[in-house]
Amino acid sequence: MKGKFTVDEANLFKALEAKKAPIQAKLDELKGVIKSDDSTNKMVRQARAEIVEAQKGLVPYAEMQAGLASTESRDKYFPDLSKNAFIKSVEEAVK
Amino acid sequence: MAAYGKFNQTVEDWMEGVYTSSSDQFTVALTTQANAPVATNSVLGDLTEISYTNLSSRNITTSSSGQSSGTFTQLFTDLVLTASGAVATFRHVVVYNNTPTSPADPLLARYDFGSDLTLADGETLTIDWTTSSWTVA
Repeated sequence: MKGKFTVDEANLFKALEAKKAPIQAKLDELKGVIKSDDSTNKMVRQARAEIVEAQKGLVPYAEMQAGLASTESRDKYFPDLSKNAFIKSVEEAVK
Repeated sequence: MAAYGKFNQTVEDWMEGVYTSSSDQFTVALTTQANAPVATNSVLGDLTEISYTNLSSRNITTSSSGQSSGTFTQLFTDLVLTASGAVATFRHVVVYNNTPTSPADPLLARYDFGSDLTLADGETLTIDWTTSSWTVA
């Protein structure tokens, strides 16, 4: 669904993106191991396991980004929070 | 609601070891109606993508993947595409696997939004994957 951010929402979205950046960088590094021609199977298995763990770290930030962008996503991921309470939780997450 | 379409090659890729769904990076590609994806496309190189200038990251976050009672389910977090300036017109969203190198970037699924979409500065498009992005039973 299409929407439009307020200035505050856009700033929070960018702050969440900044939180995701180091995790995504780690993921990219691990993917390099998987793609490396000289990597052993053991290294690849280890890298895949680490990727799965790193991805888990991205999930809450991605859910908050979706919650900022649409009411449907906010209701899906944060059903117990009012909009104001949700915004406060995002502000806490990006501190 | 966007209409789902499959790629014929995907099931073979899945069964022949191209995918490690739990750890692979999935990404979306965007195309116009003039360059609409079709079932016989198999890799990203088969598509003509739009320019992604002014568009946020197209990487999808995997929430979970695994089987329950014999049905495998992959779940993605809703993806928010945001425009930091005008973004080129598109209509189709394609999910591809950004990790494998042989074949490179195999295609997974396509969604037709039914009409052209444009994003102006500050606008967002949320791709809502509901409760299961896809399943294999």
